[in-house]
Amino acid sequence: MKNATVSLVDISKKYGSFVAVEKINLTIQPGDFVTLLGPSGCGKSTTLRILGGFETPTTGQVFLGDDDVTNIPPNRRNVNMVFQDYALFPHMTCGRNIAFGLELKGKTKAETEARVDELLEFMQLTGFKDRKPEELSGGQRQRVALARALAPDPSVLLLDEPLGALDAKLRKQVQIELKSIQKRTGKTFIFVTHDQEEALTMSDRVLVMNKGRIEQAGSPKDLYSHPESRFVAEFIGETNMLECGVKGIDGKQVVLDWFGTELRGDCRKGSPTPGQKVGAVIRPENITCYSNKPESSLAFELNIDQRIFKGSSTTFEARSSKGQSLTITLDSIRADEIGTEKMWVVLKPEYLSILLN
Amino acid sequence: MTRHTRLIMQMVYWAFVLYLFIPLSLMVLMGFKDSKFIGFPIKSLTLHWYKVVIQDLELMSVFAYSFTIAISSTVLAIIIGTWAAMLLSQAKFKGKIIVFALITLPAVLPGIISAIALRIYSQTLGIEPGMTAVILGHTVHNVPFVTLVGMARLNSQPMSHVEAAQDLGADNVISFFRITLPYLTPALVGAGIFCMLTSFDDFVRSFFLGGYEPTLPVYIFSQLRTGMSPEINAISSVVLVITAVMGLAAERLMRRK
Ligand SMILES: Nc1ncnc2c1ncn2[C@@H]1O[C@H](COP(=O)(O)OP(=O)(O)O)[C@@H](O)[C@H]1O
Ligand SMILES: [Mg+2]
Repeated sequence: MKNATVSLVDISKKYGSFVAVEKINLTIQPGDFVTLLGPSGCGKSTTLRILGGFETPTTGQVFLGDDDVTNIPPNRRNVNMVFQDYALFPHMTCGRNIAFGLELKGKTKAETEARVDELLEFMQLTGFKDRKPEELSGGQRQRVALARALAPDPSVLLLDEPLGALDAKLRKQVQIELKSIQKRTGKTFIFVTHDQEEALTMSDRVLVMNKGRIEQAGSPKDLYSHPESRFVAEFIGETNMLECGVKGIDGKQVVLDWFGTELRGDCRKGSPTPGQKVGAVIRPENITCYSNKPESSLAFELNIDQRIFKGSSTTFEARSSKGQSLTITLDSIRADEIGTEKMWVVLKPEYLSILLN
Repeated sequence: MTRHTRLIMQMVYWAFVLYLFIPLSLMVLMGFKDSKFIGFPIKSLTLHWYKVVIQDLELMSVFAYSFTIAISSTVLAIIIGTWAAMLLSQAKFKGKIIVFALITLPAVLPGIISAIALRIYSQTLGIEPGMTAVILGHTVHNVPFVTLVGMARLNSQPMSHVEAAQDLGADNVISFFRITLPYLTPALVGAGIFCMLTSFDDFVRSFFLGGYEPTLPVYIFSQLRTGMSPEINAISSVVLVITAVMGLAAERLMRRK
């Protein structure tokens, strides 16, 4: 089946008076690995289930290519789902599980068998065809579930936290596997997770959700480097959130006052006005450190509270003269140059994002 | 618990076990007695009464009659009970609680009351006392049991199984027969065995609804009135073994996860 563009137009879902999903608009390009990321209860599963046809949106429309599928039930939608608990049919062997969707599509016996064997081989499950799901390990079950969903050749594959049941080590391995399967099949994957690291590792595009809305959409790099809200900044990766007041605007840069220290940064979204309270974020590894006072008007001094060696990197917990704390990460080689008591730092404007909300 | 109270508890327990099993053991023992009269002393043992049972054509036809009734009422109860369980655990409709109460009510009604009610009702419907009436009576009594067991099993079925089937292209009918029914099967087999046992064992309903042909309990009852011989003990022992084995099997099947 040819991949199709998936679009959600003004999708909302209410349960009684509770709004689970609110005004979602999004377009997903064919062949993309897209992740819905957000804390538990933010409406990720609801959005995915609307795509799969298991929930009818209260308002809005779902398009698959040019077709409006809003009211098409799951069994007539060319979209397949991998469930969090895999939902393998316990009374059928792996082979029968994978064949299920093909049989219902009216494929001949020979076609079905050929496709099942092809998928078993593709998933490195040859030899497990006649085993029952209960006789497989977690990772193998996950692959059977994936093979079963891929078998009818859907235009989009939906995955609802499919790695949640795996232990941490296997999870990392399966993340890479899943990404490579997506690349090899060229299918559109829409993946749901609450794990930001997982989202960054696997996705071409991440949609960060909060309280039923999409907070920000972008490539993992984009979201990490240029968060547009406090929620996104704090949800993704480690960050320093500095509470500042706006002093003024200097060309493209905003001049900030951080407890007496002057900072400069970019504001990508909205326009701050002098006197406004804003948040300024900078990632721990983007802070530039010096052992002695550098030539920069933006340099200031910090007292080192803690120095945590983490192998290739070293993390410092440091404090400004006004008692404001900062977390700084350096390559361990660079960290050796820093003294034990004090250091100088510069928060370069290109790494400092200013957030109005 | 002190040693003292534990000792007393154990004695009470064993006294209870003896109370249960002495009559059963005596009944089985008498079936092997080489004499026409039930009671002590026992001089010698024999398999004579079992031969009599096997050769007793009338008894065999009573067995077959009871068995036909048990099978028919069980099949009916499983079909109706499964349907009710699906309806009650999945569909949303007004008055669901009332339907549930009505379906399960026959399980808690005293046997004699439901027997009389069924007798009057079946006559109003024009069903003469006899096999059909007994089968229907047993079915009504067994449906609640199948419904409850079925609902319990359905509750433990993950929603995602049915959703996955639909996702892969199954409509409601296909997903019921290919996914839900196989999941229900062990529970239904267990419930079915229990239904057969209750039907086989039932006296009151069979007595009130039956025609001239007696079911096994009704037959044994009529034999008792004309005087007992160890043949009765032999019949009872056979029934005891069959029902014990079936009961244990049913209990295992229904407990299975
Ligand atoms: N069937 C339902 N009835 C009522 N509330 C629901 C239902 N399904 C989900 N919700 C609510 O909608 C919100 C979003 O749920 P969900 O999409 O499952 O969140 P997530 O997958 O992001 O954890 C939650 O607060 C949840 O309690
Ligand atoms: Mg969820």
